[in-house]
Amino acid sequence: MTVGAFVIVALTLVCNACSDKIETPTSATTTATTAILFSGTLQPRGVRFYSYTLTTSGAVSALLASVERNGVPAGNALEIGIGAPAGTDCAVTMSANGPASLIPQLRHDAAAGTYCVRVADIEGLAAPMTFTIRLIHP
Amino acid sequence: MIHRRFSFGAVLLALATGVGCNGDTPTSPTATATTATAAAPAYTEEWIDTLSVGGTRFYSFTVTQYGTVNVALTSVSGQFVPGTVTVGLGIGTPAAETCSPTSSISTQSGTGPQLTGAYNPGVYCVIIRDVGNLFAAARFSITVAYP
Repeated sequence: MTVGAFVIVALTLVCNACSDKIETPTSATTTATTAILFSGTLQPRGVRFYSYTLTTSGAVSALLASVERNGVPAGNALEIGIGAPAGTDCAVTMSANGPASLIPQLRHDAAAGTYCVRVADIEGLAAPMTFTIRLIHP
Repeated sequence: MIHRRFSFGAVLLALATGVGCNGDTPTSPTATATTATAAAPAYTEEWIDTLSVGGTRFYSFTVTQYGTVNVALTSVSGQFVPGTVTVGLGIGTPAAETCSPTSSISTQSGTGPQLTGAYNPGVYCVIIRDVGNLFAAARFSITVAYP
């Protein structure tokens, strides 16, 4: 090897060593989630809400897990919504009206901050019902 | 001659090494002391509601910039409720089905803010509660001023 060739090889090695190449991680990234169960009794035409704080941004989903009267499942539809606490209520930005479900009725990406999930009877229950909302957030 | 060519290569190598790694040279940090100035209240909301015996009520509001929040219990009234009755008043954050206070006092109604403080952007709440002095439901008025 000539001295010139040696210099070229050395320069190549030096440049590679100092490059700002970003290493792509190969390991999978997992995000921990937290589940909140919000249960209570909802009066006919009543409204209740539950406030929670996200410390990191991420996907939030909510579902009406159950509607019962005296321990017996009921098919009544209730409106659930997600929003931010405002005044004496929860100002919802998205909502869905339906019976209890196994799949999320609401899903959105949220930044860190304080939010609320709200349940309301907009169809007129014949009697008070117990409900459970399952909220999953980062 | 070979010795001279080798010396030239060594010099070139040294220069290239210095140039190649130049981007990693740290620069001296510039000291920029920043003191946040609390913005004055720009919005005012009046909350009029009823507090039941042994009850609790809360009201949420959003602060959009770092600044001063003033809370004033301006009146408490009602049948069998003296205007000088002492109730609990607090500022905090909405949590679950209530307001979790970070600052609270027992106070009578008055004109000046009974609670004040500087808060970062976020959602906060004012909470009022009966500390055991009410014998009947009380009508109250609270003014919240925030930036």
